[in-house]
Amino acid sequence: MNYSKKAQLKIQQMAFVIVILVIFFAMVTMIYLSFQLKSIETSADNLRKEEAIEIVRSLATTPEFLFSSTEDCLNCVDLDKILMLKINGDHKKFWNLDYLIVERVFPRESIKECTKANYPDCTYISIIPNKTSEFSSESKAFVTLVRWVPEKGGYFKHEVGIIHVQNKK
Amino acid sequence: MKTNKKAQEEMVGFVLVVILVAVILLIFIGIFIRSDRGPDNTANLEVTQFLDAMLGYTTNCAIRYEPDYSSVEQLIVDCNKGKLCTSGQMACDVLDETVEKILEASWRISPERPVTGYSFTPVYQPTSGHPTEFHQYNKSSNCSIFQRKEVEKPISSDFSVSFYLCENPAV
Repeated sequence: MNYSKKAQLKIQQMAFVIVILVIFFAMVTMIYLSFQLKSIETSADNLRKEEAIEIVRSLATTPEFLFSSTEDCLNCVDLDKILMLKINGDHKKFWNLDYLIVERVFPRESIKECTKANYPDCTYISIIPNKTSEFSSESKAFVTLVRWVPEKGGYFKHEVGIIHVQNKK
Repeated sequence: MKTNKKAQEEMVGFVLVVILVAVILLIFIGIFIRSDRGPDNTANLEVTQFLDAMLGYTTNCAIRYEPDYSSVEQLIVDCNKGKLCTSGQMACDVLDETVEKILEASWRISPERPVTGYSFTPVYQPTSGHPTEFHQYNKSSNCSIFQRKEVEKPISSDFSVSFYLCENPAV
């Protein structure tokens, strides 16, 4: 009887240790999984951003956007060409995008959409203006906007701009 | 003697449990560190693209003749040499005005926004001698090195520029 009581105590002790261990590992696993989940969300967000930046970068090198001249110009887009693209309106379905806007960041006086009448005293050219939602992921990338200025014999003026895109879901 | 043996058994059991827990914890930590993907490169890419666009901006200063207007990149070199624009303005004055306006127009900064500050510094690095930061355009306070998204770019053999954005960790 004495032995049996001692054995029971031992079993209880072991069961207690096992329960504590299980609880401990469950907690560690939960903490680990929550960290993993957060890092997966961050990675997905980063991948989405990278994809949009790549889209913008590839857009800047398409013949419809590219500024081609003898000078070395990185990330340069031709604003005159882009305005013609908007006026013609043939390219809305050319890119698989919901939203595509070229914005002049500097210099700018007032916020006005570019038309043939007010160009170049305007701020942005909307090529695909159908923004689906204010909250969906919109991405942007800085570019150099180049346009021809006919004054003083003519020269190419480089300005600071941003291309905004929103991917089709 | 019997009690001693029992105590020893208990101690061995306890040590085994501690070792088991430690080994499993180490495995978890190992997996966690391996799965860490490293820093986010998208912000650096954005900073690089901005820097390229800003350095390429055509200013209102022509050093030789109009309309051969200098870019910000060329104006940094001209400013260091103390050159004058054809309009009579100092190259450095035009540089200051242009860079400040571009930075203000491009980045909206406040303690509640994703970007809390920025700093743009042109550096003169002669082949022999110490680098000199001859101008600084700074709008950031208390920006730790962990919050910075920094890019450095050489613009000619003797000059380089460094630019950093101060990111808000809470946004």
